[in-house]
Amino acid sequence: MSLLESAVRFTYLSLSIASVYILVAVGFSIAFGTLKFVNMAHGALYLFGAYIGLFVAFEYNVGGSLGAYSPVGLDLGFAAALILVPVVVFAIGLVMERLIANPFYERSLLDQLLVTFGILLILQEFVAILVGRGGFSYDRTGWATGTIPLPGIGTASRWRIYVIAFTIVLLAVLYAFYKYTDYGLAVRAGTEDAEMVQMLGIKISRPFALIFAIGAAYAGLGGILGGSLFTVHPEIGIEILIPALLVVVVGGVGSLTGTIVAGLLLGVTFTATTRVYPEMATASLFLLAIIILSIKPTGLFGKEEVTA
Amino acid sequence: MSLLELEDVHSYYGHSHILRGVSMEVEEGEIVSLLGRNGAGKTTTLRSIAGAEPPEVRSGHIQFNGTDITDLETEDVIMSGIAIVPEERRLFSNLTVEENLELSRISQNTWNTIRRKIGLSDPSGKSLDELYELFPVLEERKEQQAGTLSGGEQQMLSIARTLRLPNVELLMLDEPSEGLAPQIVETVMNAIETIAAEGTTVLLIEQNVQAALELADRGYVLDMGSIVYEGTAEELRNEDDLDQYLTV
Repeated sequence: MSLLESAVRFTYLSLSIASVYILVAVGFSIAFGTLKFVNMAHGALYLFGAYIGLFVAFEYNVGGSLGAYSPVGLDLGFAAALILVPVVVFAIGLVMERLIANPFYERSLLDQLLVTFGILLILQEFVAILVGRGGFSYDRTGWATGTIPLPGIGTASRWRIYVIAFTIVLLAVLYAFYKYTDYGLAVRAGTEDAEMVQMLGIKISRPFALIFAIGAAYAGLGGILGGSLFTVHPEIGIEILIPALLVVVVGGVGSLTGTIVAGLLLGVTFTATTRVYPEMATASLFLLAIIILSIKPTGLFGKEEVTA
Repeated sequence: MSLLELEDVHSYYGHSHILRGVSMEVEEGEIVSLLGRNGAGKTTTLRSIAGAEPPEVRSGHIQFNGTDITDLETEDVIMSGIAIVPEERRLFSNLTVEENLELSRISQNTWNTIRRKIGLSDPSGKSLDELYELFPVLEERKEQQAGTLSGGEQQMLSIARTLRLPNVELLMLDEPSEGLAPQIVETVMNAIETIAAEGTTVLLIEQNVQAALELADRGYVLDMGSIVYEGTAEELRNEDDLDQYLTV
């Protein structure tokens, strides 16, 4: 493998991992920055995205209480899963906002943290009871496998390139939502001063619920993309929280730009350490976060500190 | 019947009893000033009317246009025809000037297009062009973040955005002259006078008694959460006793 080819390989590997981090972190950052709600149960949305995608796209023999009904799944194909997962997880997000987030908006950060973490554990066990603790991996179909030729360089993994492109499109859509829609405008204003938005006659709870659910749908998509790159098992919801949380604090809570930049930084760091010293891959993310936060405690693009 | 009527309103911040039976009226087309020292309960009165929490209104009634609005949510109070220029302006400093103005249009879209369609009311807030004509400086600064404006410009924007709201009948302003140079205060007061002349009723909360009474038809003086004096602007100007309630 030429130096150029391995440089290209390193680039798309880290960008595809960064894509998953960013998709998950975006919703967490929105909930934290705009709704002042720290939602550890956000990890469950990633978990649901991965599992729902799995059983929409394929059929599997499962363990757990559904084991008797194996094989389980709709077997609609991978493309169907990519379309269905965000819709379903968006709906789950709306329910989560109503039932879990809404009663806790006014509570302390610690209350929110403990309750949502508990909910994450409950949902994780619920998945384990249903389909068992065993791992699954996505059998991606034809269009999502193989390599694409890069003239003069070699080849690149087709699916990883798709993951990156897909994420770029999703982030552009989110940006356009913020920048060009009335709902986006209300959310941006509400991030600064929610009561004042109400004093302009706007029912802020609706745009807030919408943006929460969009963040959920993105985490669900992160689940299906992450699930297809890594493996799928009940603990992935907690596992993804570590990089996602670090991306949020390094980037600066509530900043879309910050989330993207931090996601890229952490994706590159993770891929690089995995190469030279795999045991330290996760630890290296913490190290990077410690360095950046000790220089800039509000994160790279954070405007002010979030107080409890 | 008055446009706005407060009847024995008692409001609390937690356990603190702030408004102790406030009763007042604002007639349609009037400019009424609510005066009083810092901490007298002026802002609490405004927030009670607006349905903002805190404070909590535990007893008494607030009527607007013949409807009881005491327990309405803030956004519903606004949609019933009350606009607010709050203390310290509370602009969205990260949004541009134009985005700040556009926010007031959103309520028009979601609620009032329906209202208009079934013929309930004609929710015609001012267009951006009309607002820029009224406040030319805002047009020059329309792409700028609101946080970068000078104090006077911010106050203009804070007033301008209320004019974009649909069918405002009552405009409540909380200390619009606060922190502004005397010359700018005059500009702001002139703007308020223009709005009033177009038929909007104004409730003006002020510590700047002189500026307020120059504009107002009538006034109330609030002290320790109760109305201690009411009268025409003329009477208030000539009442020497009032100094004890107004001097800081």
